[in-house]
Amino acid sequence: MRHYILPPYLLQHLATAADTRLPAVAEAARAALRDDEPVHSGRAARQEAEDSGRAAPGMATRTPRGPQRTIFDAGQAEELPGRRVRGEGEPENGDAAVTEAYDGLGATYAMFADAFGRASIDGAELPLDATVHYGHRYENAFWDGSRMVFGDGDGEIFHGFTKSITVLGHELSHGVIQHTTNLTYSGESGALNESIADVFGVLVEQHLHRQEASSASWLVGAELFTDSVEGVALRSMKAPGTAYDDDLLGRDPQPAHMTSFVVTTEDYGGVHINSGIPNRAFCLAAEEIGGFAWQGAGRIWYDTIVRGDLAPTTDFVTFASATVTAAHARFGAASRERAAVASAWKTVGVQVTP
Amino acid sequence: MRIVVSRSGGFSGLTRRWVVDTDGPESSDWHLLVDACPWDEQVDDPPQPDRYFYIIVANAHEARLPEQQVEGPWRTLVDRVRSAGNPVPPTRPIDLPELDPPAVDRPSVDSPAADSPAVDPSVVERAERELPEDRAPVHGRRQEEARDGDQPRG
Ligand SMILES: [Zn+2]
Repeated sequence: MRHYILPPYLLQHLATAADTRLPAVAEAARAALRDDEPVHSGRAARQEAEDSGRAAPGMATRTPRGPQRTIFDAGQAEELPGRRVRGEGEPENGDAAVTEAYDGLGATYAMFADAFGRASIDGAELPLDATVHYGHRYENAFWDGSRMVFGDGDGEIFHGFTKSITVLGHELSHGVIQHTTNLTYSGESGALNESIADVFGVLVEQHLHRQEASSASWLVGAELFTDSVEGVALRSMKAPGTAYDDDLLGRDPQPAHMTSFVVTTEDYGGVHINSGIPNRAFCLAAEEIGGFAWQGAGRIWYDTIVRGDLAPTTDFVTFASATVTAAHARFGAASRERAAVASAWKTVGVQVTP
Repeated sequence: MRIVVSRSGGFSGLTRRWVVDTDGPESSDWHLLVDACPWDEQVDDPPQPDRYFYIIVANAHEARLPEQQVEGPWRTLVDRVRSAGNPVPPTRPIDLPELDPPAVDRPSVDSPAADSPAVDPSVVERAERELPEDRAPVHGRRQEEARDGDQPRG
């Protein structure tokens, strides 16, 4: 059985693409269809994994078939998984949080499938389980290693966390990261883990609304704050550090450049803080490349995490260099995609090794 | 005794801190709550993305705990400090010296956890120093509120 990292329909599309900017891609796609040459440097690793009888990290083994979603209700307790309230294809149950979670998981599955040919979190149709109404006034959402969990917020500062499609996309993306480059959740690798989850989170929203990079908000969690908060979102990928400035919450602590990198013990070494730096690099690259971000910068970031050659403790410089390598592999050495990615990292103060 | 609870991380990345000073009639209650916590037990749970990260400092003890470990006596202490303590708005993030062994990121086999020396008192001092002066706890008022409010559940 032959495995493709791209689904056949996408290979067909790329192989016949008239776009002369992408001759290398078209050729690689044709090669894959001919089934005689590597389409991607990951193939050797995949073949090896196949031989050893297990899936390589991040590989998409088949054409995505569609999500298998199940939503549970924790009833404001802190016990998982909670009561099963809606399965795939079942009608709405009248609970907005359940509907939001169900729809958001669907939109996230669709983005990974359409943009990257990825069949769910593990590339092999892993069912998507989510729990809503977790905890009492719980102002958070998290990924516990196997499911997404969403609190209702306190109602004073935060609305329920299912209201934001970028949050739903972010949480599911933690699952994708876990199954690909399992970046250690502390320090720089933790900030990369957070940033990549933000990247795919906003791509889910952009993909859902067919927004190009130039018209996207680049905000994470824009729906979460109540009117009583002075702020537009939890994070701004375009302008880290500007998302909120509020009497009670303080000011958005995200740095936009390496010179402002925050050294802290809190938040596993500032993983939600220093993610501002790679977040901005992604946004800059996407805006420079233009068009739909999941096709350019998003594709490069995705290629980077599924290549399987990044260590869990990868730091900013190593990751940045890997994205430039991935841009080269997909779009060519002299491509403007590669140039845009290299330039973006430079702008945020991360020196890419040549 | 001063007790500091920092809850950082979570999806929002918003840090909340609470401080309580316990030099009042309820002081012994607080000591019971603090002493009930397993300060010397090391936590090897791998972090779960977007869960809160707690730093709890009291009486020359310091603990760094993932949210899912804040149960039993830890949960009792944290809930009590949250309801009785002064909320401190986030200023800049706290940077504490590394514990031996660090809470995350290093294999525990290298460092015999149970034999670690007591926490350096400078940890408490540094945590206190990082708190803005104008928000220093007001002892009398806090203690009154604490008396009227929650009693320890533990
Ligand atoms: Zn996250």
